Amino acid sequence: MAGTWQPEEAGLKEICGLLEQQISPSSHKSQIWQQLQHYSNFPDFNNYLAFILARAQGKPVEVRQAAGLLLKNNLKTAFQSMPPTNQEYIKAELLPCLGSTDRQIRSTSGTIISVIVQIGGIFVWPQLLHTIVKCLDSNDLIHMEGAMDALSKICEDIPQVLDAESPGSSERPIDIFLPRLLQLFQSPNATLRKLALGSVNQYIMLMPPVLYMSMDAYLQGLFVLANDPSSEVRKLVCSAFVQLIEVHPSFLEPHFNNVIEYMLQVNKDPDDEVSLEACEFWSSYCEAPLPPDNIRPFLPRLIPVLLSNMAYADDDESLLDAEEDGSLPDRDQDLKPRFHSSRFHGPDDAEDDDDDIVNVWNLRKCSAAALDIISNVFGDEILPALMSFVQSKLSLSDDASWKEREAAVLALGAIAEGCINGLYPHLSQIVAFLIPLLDDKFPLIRSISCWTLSRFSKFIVQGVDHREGHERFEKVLTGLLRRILDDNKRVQEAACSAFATLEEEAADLLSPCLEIILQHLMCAFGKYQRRNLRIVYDAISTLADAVGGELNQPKYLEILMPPLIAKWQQLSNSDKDLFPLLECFTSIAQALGSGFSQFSQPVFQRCLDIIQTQQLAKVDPVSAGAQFDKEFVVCSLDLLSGLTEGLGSGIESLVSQSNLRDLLLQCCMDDASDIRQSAFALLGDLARVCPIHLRPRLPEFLDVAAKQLNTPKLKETISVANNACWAIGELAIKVNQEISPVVMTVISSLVPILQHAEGLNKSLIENSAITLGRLASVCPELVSPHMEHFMQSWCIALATIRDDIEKEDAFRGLCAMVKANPSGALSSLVFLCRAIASWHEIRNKDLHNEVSQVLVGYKQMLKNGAWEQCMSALEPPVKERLSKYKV
Amino acid sequence: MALPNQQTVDYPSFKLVIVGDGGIGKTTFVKRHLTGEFEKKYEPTIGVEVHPLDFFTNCGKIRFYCWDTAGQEKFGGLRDGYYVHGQCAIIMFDVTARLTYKNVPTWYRDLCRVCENIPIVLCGNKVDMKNRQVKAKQVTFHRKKNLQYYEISAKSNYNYEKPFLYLARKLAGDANLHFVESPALAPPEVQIDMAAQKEHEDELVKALIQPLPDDDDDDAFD
Repeated sequence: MAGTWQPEEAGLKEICGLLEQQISPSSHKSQIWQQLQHYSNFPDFNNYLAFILARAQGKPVEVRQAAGLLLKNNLKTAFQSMPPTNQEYIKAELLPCLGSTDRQIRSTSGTIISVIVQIGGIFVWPQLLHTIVKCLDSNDLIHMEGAMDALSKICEDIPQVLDAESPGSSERPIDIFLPRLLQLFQSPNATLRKLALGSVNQYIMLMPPVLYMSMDAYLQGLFVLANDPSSEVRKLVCSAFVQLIEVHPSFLEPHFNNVIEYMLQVNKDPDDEVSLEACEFWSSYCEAPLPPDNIRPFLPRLIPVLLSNMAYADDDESLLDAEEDGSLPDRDQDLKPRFHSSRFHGPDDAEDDDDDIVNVWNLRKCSAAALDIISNVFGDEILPALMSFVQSKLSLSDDASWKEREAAVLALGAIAEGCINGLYPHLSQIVAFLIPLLDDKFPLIRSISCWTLSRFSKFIVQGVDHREGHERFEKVLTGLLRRILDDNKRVQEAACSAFATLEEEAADLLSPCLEIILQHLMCAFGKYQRRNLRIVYDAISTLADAVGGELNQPKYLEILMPPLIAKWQQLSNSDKDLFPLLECFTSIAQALGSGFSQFSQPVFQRCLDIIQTQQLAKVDPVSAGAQFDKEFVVCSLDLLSGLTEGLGSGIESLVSQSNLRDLLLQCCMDDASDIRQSAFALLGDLARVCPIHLRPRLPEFLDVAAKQLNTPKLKETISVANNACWAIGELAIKVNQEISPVVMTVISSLVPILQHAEGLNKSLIENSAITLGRLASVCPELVSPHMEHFMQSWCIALATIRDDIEKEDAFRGLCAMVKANPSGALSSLVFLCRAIASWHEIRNKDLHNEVSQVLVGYKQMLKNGAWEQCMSALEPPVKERLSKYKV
Repeated sequence: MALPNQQTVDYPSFKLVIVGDGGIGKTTFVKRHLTGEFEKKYEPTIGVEVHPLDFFTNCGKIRFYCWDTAGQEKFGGLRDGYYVHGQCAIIMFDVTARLTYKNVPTWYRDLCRVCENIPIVLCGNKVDMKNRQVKAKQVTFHRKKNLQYYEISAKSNYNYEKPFLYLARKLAGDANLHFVESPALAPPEVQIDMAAQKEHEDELVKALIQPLPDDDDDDAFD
């Protein structure tokens, strides 16, 4: 071609040399990159790159490949603004590359072509379509592969581009390609089959008319490829069926039997990736949701396949992990960073437990997940097939089949929810069978038995009333305790977590066994390495929460406290291992109540010391001798809250002799929201039991608390606002009129929260409604003139709160305001009635009478049928509830 | 073709490509091995930096040439041009920045287009931070692509060795391969069959100098 661009020899050589250095491991990359940058300023630099990719025959392939990839990256930003002659040059150089004998060159060109199509669309490049069609039809393997490579990348990156109508025609490029792709399903070349199938699969979601029309041929093709010798092709067949089930199940309906039969077969595929892909089918089918009837006849064959696949694969990392020597100290890299979550007043949004386990994905996990879902869909129906298989596996006793036994135990745990009804009559046998497995020779059988037993906690706890059940409970309990002292770290972990589940279910049933439980836990405390030590702390906390005051007996405290105190003394104020210990003490302090007072003085003092040290460390780490870490402050504040809650007014003497008030005020003003959150929680707790010690700083506390509610970043610091809001309410009912200077400021922040409740959390709404009521009960004369603005949204919020003391306070405020300004609630009377009807029962006699007076008052006030009109707007159950109040 | 400029040590070495968005901690992660220091200041990587990291396994020493690539587009250099001849990879994202996880599929695609069928580990970094945006349960990409996933903290060292160990096992084709503390230490109680070990090392070396698989050979590598 005349006038075709030609490179300068010197430039070519230079650029190739620089590229070569760029991709070699040993060179100063950034320096060479700068030189390369220099060339990139040349207007025809990208032409050079195209030339190197397409024509630099003598250069190493990786240099040509690197040139191509750099070209692709440059084009992303530069193609549109490039002179058209350069655009045309590059495009023209690329097309012949599809037939290059070097696979890397073909593949790199395909990648670049897809990017150009992404930028400019397909219709401005007719030669491309033409070339791809020509290559596909050429019967020359290399050309076909090159074209298929480019086409499959376009299908993956921008499938919709081929599904658009050509200008001035109703034809779409996919119309031309699809028949050819389906044809290639039969190619003797595995790569072509793989690329063609992968490309068509990209269109399941878009479902262009031509694929819709060719559905039979496509499905036919899938069945032909179903037993392809290439595992990559089989994997794509599975993924096609899984996608079809998810997006267009109706296409598969006539073929369900064949598809399910096939899936069953490939679940046993020798290639793990294929069987894993196939295993997804069952979950997808059940979640679609499609009629279970189609799968039902296959259950007797499916269940054993899933169970077999649940056995550990030889390369499962858990196998090697389980061999770790229990006496080996844990390294830093074994310890997952953990967090203390600041104290929060109100119903917690349940945090997900971030198990590492959830992230491991393999055939075992996928099969267990499928079994779980199937057990939830079919329930007890699967039991006959499952139990006979499980029994046969469990009866194996030779060492070689331990993985099969393990999988059988896992299966019992996996169906514990879905099949509980059918399992029930057999549970005593099953549990009896599992108990000895707690002492199995294989550690992973011991650990899975802990887990599976914990899945039946409810059953185990329910039966304690009769003798047999009681014996069972004791056997499980002592079995788990024995495993807590296992030498294997994985077993320790599984046993602690199973024990925690049992603890929560059993609660005070544990009381008679407290001594032995404590002995085991404290023995573990002395034995464990760092990672599992944290779990023991959690188990102790859970125990304290479960049995509460029962723990407050000298014989128990003598077992529990000395090791903890020794640890407490051994750790320095800047040791992070202190966090779980502080948390543990918080639970113990709350459980023991006044019983903790014998330990409270040093604990209280140490918390103050830590906070003080950290506040100094923030400004001057050198003289504090510690690096600032807010977690220390948060944990200490929370432990002080726990102490306050546990000791009640017993904390007063400690507070009065300390500088807690000033430290707390500082924390309430801290930059870190976690610190403020815990500080306001402590403020509220102190307000309840010893408000007198807060008084000297009351205006400052109120002022800073009010500020938390009036911030444009409310949503980001919603938990701080929540605790501050609650603390203001607690202070209000203790200091009465002294609250009046901030009342209007706070009300004006609470009202918008109540009015725009959507998007905020439930707890903040509840606390806002209660605090507003508490302020109104203390200063009705200040609040009631503004009632009309907030009655409706306030009453809506009040109606969602469950009966409790705080709600009583709020309704005292409501009554006081109505008394002061009866007409202020008139326009919201229906909402007020609903709020009152939300009470199950007002236990407090006086308040009950006051509420009754409010309703009777309105009934008398509203003559001319207005009262009846209001009543008729109410739902029958609401009216029913109101009848308690004599109206 | 042979791998150029790689065999600079007399024990098996592998090109490991580390990719992911800018600022997610790739450089910090790599430098943990070299200095044991946590890199506090952030200096964007220009193009690529290659760090040779040695690990000591029960089968002997191995080296990963870690190609720590630039995450930021403007400093990207050759970007995927650096992946050429990559033998294994780590795709990293930051669990405190949702967008960095959303971009994982793109990194994965670009990587697979240059290096077919190499072992890849997905790593969620910064699990030491409280303001996590990508919860463990939301990480599902590795399931679809059959990758290994680890949560890591370049700051606390949590799971530091895991990605390297996984890749070493895959590259060696030995699920039982493990790291030993230090090369100076005698091997643990297990008696290693020296002949078998030698054979194994030879295999590793042989694998290293093998040409990249051709398309038609793919099945053999499954």
